[in-house]
Amino acid sequence: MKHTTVYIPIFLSESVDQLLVKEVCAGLEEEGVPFACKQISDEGFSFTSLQVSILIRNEHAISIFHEKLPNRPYLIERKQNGRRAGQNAARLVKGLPLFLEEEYDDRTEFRDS
Amino acid sequence: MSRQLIAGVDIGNSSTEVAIVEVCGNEAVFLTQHLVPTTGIKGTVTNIKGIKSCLQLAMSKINRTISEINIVRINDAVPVIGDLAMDVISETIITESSMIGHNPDTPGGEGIGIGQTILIEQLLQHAEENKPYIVVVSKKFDYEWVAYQFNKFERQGIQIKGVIVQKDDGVLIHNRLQMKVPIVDEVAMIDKVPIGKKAAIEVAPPGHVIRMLSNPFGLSTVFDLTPEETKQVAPVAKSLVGNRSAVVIRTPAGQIAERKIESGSITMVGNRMSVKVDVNDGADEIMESYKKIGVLNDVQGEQGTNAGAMLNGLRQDLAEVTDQTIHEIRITDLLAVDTKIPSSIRGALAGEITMESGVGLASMVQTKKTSIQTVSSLLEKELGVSVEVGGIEAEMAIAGALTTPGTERPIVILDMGGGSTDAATNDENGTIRTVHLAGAGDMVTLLINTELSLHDLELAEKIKKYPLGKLQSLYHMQLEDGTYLFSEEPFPPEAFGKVVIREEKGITPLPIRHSMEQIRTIRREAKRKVFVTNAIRALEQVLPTHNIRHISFVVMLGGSALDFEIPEMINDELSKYGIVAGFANIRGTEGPRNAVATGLVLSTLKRRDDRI
Repeated sequence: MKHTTVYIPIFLSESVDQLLVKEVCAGLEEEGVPFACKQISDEGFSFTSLQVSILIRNEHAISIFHEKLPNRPYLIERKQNGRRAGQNAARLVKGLPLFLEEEYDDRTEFRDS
Repeated sequence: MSRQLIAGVDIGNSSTEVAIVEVCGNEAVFLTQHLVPTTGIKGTVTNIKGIKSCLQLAMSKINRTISEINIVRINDAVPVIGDLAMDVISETIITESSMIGHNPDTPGGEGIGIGQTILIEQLLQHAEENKPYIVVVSKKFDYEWVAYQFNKFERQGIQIKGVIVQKDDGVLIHNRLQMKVPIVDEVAMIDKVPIGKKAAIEVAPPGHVIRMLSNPFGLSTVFDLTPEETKQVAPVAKSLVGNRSAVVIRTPAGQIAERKIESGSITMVGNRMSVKVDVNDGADEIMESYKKIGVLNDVQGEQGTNAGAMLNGLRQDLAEVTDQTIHEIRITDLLAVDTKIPSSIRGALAGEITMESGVGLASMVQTKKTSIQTVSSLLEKELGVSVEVGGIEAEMAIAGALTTPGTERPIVILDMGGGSTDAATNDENGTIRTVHLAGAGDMVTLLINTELSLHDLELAEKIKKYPLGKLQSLYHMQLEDGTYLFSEEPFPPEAFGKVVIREEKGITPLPIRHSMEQIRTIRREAKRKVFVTNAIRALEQVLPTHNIRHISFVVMLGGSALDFEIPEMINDELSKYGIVAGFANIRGTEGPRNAVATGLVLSTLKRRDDRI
């Protein structure tokens, strides 16, 4: 694929829950990385110059792929964690530490009293 | 001539080492050696377990068993033992919750907003026009809804100057606002934000830090304060320095006081004089005074103060491990270091921490003569091999160190272990002088643990021992010196983007947000404060002339001489005095390890020499 634009593509199959897509987009927006939704074609999915792509298929968990590791997803997120999936894809581009299960919870809980 | 197997066993504060040699007449061949952590306090029968397993492991390397050993020689451990204490001497308290200062990764907008705090639900019911508000939004509200309401308020002529949000959606709200205002998000304890009070909010542009709220006069401008009040809020400004975003809320009764805990004083009793030093004066002052008093006989802390509590704690610990009463404990050496201890600010709203000043003390006490005879006879029973107690530890260490190629008598050795820093000299006449100083590897670990608030000594130990790296992509990391390292396999997601410890067998991601540079600085400073200080102190004390310019060579030994940067730091410092320092290479192969164990077996050969 020709790298023409700078954004993270979100590849969707035809009947993915729109609320989930919105959450993933919110995660990307909060981290300030551009994104665009696309349909999964028969050829599968591709990468942009940001090298990270998100895949959301009907019956599957959310997968985040990196161009340098195209054969398996680098991260897999459950569908209830759409926001985090978006944030992590963005942070993968930015080179920042990812939010993983326990750590993420820490951030919203009370730390000290 | 009969062949004999002789084992030298060195019991140290933190590790037990053995060297095994086969002796035939005057010929000695080193067969094997091993090292295990010391079990129990050195010089007590609890060591036997460690000695036995160490011997077993060493012998199994050459496919032989302990029963084949003819003589085991153990060292007469020096009867000194050390302990550490660390405490804060200042504390910042916010008597009424009145500030938020933190670094969320993604705050919204930028600039400064000033207004009265109000909950978004209150604003819906009753809002006044021409009155500036700072709106507080708890996590139960969705960003779309919040942004919609704000845009509606704006059309109604209600002035919103800033927003405090509990969830991580500052940017999402900001992107949807028609009137852009600064937004601070990820404020965990939002229910503690005082409502109906005047507040100021500041978000710095990306790559910058706040300037207004971290400046005492900025605060006085914003809140229209008198000089007296400005003095009171100065600690708030101080603790906000370096943040990307902050909120300061003025509560009329709100007061922040930097209260000095009564840190008290310590009295050092020397053979020449006694000196009383205030702990607040800092480590340098304590160490300067120490130099004046000659040989230290004991240290006492002022009762009812932090210093008193610290020294009593040390005595208590040492009394327990050495099986003496608390009154028998005499502190014979003391090392004080200044430290910064991150402490959570009491009354803070987002888990803010501030760096409080603290002091760390390492101390050394004389114990009763260790019961090495008891250990040796019990060991003899346990192993079924004859055990003898070798000579003085320092003499053995020197004998071992002299197996380093290129060394000769007179020699000065600097033994940097886990519990103590020792030095010994041996002149042409064979006269040996030794010193045992408090503070070594364990103190460095404690400093790292405290200054990074890790609460994990094992991790602190790893940070001490290994260099760092910062993962920058799936396949490459930047090293401390700016060079890059590539990996065949992608790094795991848990480590991505983080600062990691580069061990031989893999990487350990650090669970802290400090930059690689900050961690490196803390690590190196901790090593410098303990080892460089102690190297100079040890050499000054061990030399008959007390002037370290009178020597030209120093051989470094012990576990900390294996460190990847300590020998270089000491070498750097000693080169100023024209001294060549380097770490030993025992028997030309073992590096700075195994000196005492080697000395123990070699000393049997010498005795045979004497007999001939």
